[in-house]
Amino acid sequence: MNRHHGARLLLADDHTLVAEACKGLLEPEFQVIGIVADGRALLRAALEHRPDAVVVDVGMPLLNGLDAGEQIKRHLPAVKVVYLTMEAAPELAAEAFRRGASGYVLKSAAAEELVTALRRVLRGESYLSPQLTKDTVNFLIRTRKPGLREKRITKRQREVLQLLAEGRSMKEVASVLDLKPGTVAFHKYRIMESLGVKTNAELLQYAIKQHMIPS
Amino acid sequence: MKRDAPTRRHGPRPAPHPWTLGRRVALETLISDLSASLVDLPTDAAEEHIHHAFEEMLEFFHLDRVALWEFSQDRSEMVLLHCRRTPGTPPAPVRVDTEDYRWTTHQLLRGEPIFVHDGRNLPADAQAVKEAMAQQGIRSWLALPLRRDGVVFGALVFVAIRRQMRWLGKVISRLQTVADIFGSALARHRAEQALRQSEALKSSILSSMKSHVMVVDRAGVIIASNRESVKVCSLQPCAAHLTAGMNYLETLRRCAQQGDAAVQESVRGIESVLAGTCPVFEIEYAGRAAEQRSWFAMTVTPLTGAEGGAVIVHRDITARKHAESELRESEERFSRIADEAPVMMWTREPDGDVIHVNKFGLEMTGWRAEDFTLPKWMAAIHPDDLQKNFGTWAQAMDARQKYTLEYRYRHASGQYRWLLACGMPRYLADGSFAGYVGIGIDIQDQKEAEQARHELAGRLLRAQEDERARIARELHDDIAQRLALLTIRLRQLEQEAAQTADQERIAVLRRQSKQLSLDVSHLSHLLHSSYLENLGLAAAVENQCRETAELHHLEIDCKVRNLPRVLDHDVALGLFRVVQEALRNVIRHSHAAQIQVELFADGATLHLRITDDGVGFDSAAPGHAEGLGLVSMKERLRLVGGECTISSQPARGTRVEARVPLVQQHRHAPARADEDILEKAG
Repeated sequence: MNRHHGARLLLADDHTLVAEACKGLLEPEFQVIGIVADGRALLRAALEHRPDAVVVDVGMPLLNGLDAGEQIKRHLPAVKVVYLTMEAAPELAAEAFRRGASGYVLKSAAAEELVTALRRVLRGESYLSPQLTKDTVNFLIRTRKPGLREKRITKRQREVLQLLAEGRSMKEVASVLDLKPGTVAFHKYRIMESLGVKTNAELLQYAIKQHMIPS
Repeated sequence: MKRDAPTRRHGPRPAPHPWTLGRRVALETLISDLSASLVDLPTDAAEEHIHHAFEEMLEFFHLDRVALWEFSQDRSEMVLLHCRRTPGTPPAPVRVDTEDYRWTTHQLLRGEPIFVHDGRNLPADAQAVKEAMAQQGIRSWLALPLRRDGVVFGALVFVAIRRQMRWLGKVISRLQTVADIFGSALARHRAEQALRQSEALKSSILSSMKSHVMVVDRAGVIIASNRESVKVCSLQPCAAHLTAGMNYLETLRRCAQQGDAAVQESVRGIESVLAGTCPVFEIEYAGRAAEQRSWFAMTVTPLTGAEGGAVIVHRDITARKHAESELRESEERFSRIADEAPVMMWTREPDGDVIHVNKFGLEMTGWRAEDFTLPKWMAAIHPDDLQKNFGTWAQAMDARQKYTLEYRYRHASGQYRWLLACGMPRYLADGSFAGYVGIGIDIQDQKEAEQARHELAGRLLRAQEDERARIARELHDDIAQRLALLTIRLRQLEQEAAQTADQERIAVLRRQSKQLSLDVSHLSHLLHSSYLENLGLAAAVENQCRETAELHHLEIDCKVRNLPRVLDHDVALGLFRVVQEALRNVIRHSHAAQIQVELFADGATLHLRITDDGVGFDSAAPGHAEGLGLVSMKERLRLVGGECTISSQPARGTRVEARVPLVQQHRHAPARADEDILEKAG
């Protein structure tokens, strides 16, 4: 038994069955204090419950895992972020670590690795699924310029963009973010201007590249 | 210069012969004899007459030498023409340099006679004369200028050696008369010689001319002719000897009565030139020889001068006429063929605006012949095509090279139609540029078929990609997740199992399920790269290279640089598929150890280059390259306006090169669903 026995965890995955199964996998050792199905719910729950760690899927509606994880790290730096995903791309893992993640676990290997990953992460170490080559990810973390992480649009704009890219109407976006529809339209206009894009298709591509929405 | 003083001093010294009346009469008789013999100096006996006159004078004056000199054209020397001397007298020099006898020359050219009784009355600057006198033993001498039209051209020189002479003024003036007679005789003689030479030249020119040249007077009488008898034809009358004295015009008038139109017209022409009412008359006429058609041209030009008259020239133009008619026949033949040909044919003069188009061309375009000008045609070319082709076109025309272009022009119906236009510079037999000749083929149907084929190919490729993406997403989002879930549940079951044997059995199942999940994930990735969409072309290509290198133990040097931030998805996908296809080819066929993949943007073009050091193949051999997925690569790139080439040689490796323009001018129907995805504002 280690000293993190009983650590409080939040699980975030839109595949709720997977999340439930993971809960079963983790329960004997850790305390799962909640399961959420999107990035926004994760943010709210994290701020409310102040967990020791969050287990986050990368692709999630309303707010994607990468952006949600990054925001959690900004507001609650002590919370460890572990990604649990089907994506085996080293670039994506590298991006996750750059944004403050402590662990990156492939869903296929969750049964074997998730508990180990959380133990390590709570000890202050990092964890990467062995299917991904550590050297490659390290190399990418070091070398890849923050091209994936566009600084040119604001946090609010990123939120608006993800929701629009998910196919929501301006009204829906406004409701999710508690804004007026006109403000959403203004944000959209500003985003396109900042990115220098002219069509919705380009905007969609940008959102995909930023992992705001799954491909 | 003290030139006058010494020469004009007439000393009253005793003469050898007293200047008696009898002697004066004898002198006058001599002068009139000389005049008579020299005035009509016969050309062929001029020398004889001159020498005889000299002998007479030597005897009459008891002199020793009489010589006739002439200045050269540039007055640099005097040339001896005639000389008579008494026995024992030294000969006169053949030529003397006037520079050496400046004083003498100067006097003579001024028209002054020089009389020297002895050396003493010579001026100081006539040193050369003194020396010559001393050398030849000359006691006295007299030089008289020879004039022609008031210009001095030579001198008559009398020399006395045996005794001294006292030149009397009266004698000098009479001798000057003699000199003048010599001068004019000589001048006339010279002019006659020149005339005779020029006549000889003219007649040799005339007789050597191929044309028949006649000079006729105002009445049409032949003054001169370079042929006595010429080719038989209507205007060079039958059996007539065209000799001087015959009336050519009159002969023609008689011929004209037989009704020959050309002869009648010629008579009128010659008459009008002779009357001064026509500046020049020209006519071309056929010869009479039946077996071989010959052609002549007659030109009548007036003679200037009070007497009037004309020069009549007959030229043989048979060769030219034959060439002309051959050319005309060949052009007529060409024009006949061109008009019947089932293809648009056109010609354009050098720097001309008018385009001559055959019948088919007019039918094909629906244009009227008078509308076929270069400016109108260019205005009818589709602006995009004009912009694209104009440089090539202008360059070819400037360099007079042939060109082949494909462009759309506006048909008379107002519709644009595709045309294949070929132009070729045309040169005449003498090598001169004669403009362009070319053909035009309507390729609208081919273009439409081609377009339809590309669109179909594009739709097929896109449908295939869409289907792959759908299956990949299904596998990734559903099957793989469910397998992951199964694995997790098996893990839980494994932990809950009481028996070790059960635990082991479940662990085997769990491991199988995990492998299955990973395999499905991988398969999904192969079917449709989420890398490309998630991470962009650069990362996707780098990742593909890395994976391939690891899997097949190869070295792949992947260089990606300078890519634009936002890239058209179809462009990215097309290039990514080319990378996949090329790498697959390398692994399957080339046995390469090293592969180089380069991807970069250069201005408005994206370049992809995949080079290997493998066994290669003969890319020039037909059919080979097509088998290597080149067709599908080409089709993919064509969808985004790009192109792809494969070059290879046996044992020299292979290079695949793809180029895609970054700015799309024209795209086939974009996916509307994508466009609208963000436009659902309520």
